[in-house]
Amino acid sequence: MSYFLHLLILGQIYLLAVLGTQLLVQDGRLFFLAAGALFGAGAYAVALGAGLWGSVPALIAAGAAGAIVGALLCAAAGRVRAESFALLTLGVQVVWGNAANNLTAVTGGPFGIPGIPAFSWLGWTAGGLGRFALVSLVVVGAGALAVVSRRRGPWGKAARAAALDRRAFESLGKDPRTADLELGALAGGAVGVSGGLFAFYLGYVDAATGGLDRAFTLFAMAVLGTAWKRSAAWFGVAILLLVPEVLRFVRLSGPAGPAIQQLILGCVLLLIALRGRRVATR
Amino acid sequence: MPVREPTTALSFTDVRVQVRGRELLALASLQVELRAGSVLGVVGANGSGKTTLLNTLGGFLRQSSGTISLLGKVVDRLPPWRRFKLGVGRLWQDLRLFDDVGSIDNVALAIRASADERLWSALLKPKQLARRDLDAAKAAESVLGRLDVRHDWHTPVANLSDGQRKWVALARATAVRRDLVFLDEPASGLDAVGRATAERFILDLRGEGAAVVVVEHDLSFLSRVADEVLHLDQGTCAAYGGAPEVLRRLLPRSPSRPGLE
Repeated sequence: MSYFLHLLILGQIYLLAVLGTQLLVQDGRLFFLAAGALFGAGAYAVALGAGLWGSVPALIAAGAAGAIVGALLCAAAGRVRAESFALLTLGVQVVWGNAANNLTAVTGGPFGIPGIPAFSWLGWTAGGLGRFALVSLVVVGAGALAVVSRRRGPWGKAARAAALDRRAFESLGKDPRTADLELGALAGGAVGVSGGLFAFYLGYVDAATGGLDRAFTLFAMAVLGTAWKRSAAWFGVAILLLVPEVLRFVRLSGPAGPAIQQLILGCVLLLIALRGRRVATR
Repeated sequence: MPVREPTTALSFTDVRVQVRGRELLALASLQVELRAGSVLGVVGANGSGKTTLLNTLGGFLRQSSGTISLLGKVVDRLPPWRRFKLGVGRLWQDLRLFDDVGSIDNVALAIRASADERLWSALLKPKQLARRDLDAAKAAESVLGRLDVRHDWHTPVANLSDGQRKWVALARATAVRRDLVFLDEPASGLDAVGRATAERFILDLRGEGAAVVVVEHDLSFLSRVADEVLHLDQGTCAAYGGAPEVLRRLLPRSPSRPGLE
């Protein structure tokens, strides 16, 4: 039971992060490789703030931290070419990981920040797995609802139009830079909150929490979901979360496990390429 | 629609455009003033600078010298979206429709107020916004209906014919009141009936008091809609004046100059 609750919690946390990343990759058509930094910003905000301000303000701070990083990065989207933007976000992601590893006074360096208090609100503490699953269900549910409904409404339509054809968008008297900033803020906010939840769940944060691996995982999940079916964030999460677990059940989690996992991921990505869905094509 | 006051809608003086040291447009000592309720035709062979001129007026290319004024405001330092927000519309030569969505969504995007597309509005006033979004869709239906666009309005515009796409683009460019409209080859790719409709469309815009700049290769089409004509040749002004005079010089020569006809 605990094992399934663990998977459920991770799935929920990743679902919100992937919904945010999909906003950038699918709606914004950006080759965005710094989702790990957004996740890490949220996680560190909780690690540093939960003890000072309490759980809910820390989670809000996690969203705000992600939103700020996301908005700053997306502000550059209209100023650089698509391939430069991919390199820019990759560079930011690498610098972020490096800073998290070396700014020991703030991040704890390679040892990270342990002992993050359990999520609590109005005297109720999410101490066990079941309770935390409930917290993540509520937070991820609210976050997902906010993202999905914004996506379907006028804001989402305008954001997609701005990403699809900047000049046409401008010739309607609309400001594409604001659209980019807001896209980055909402996406970053969603990824930041999921990073914050992750920190609460593990009770520990280090450089790997928002590292390059996380960035690639989130990007791959977002692309997988988008490629399978428009806006199907769950698909990417299910594939990349369940493949290692299935491998574990068929006793392939030894040395061959990671290789087979990468092989499966590679095959799925090839299938996606053959299906010809367009993502990150700004 | 109420008729607008007759004022100067567009003026530009001594406009030059250089990109990486190459002069794309050199309209030195040319002063153009287009009053509301009149049509300026822009003609010239391919590569003569017609679209470059529209891009410069719209702010997509920055002039290296000269002054541009749109609807009474000097716009030299304004980004494109601020220029168009003044009440300017544009039909693009390559249409630039949002291909993934239907005609209604393309037109509704032009109708919807920018404030209704802000994130804070979406987060704080979702119900009001949903209602206004429906209103925008209804208004888009009405615009498409007025233009007699008959295809399925929800079909992604990527799946429409060139002619259908042209009408959606025209509807989008003029979905809300525009006092100045740039039309880049509005008649190209249309059949005779379509051309006649396009002609009537431009004359209606003029009748409502809008100033219209029409870039067009078809000189006979221009002769029926334009009050003034600017003839460009390799980025310079070859002739500028009343449509009958300028076109009279060009029309007899057009068979030997395929770039113009």
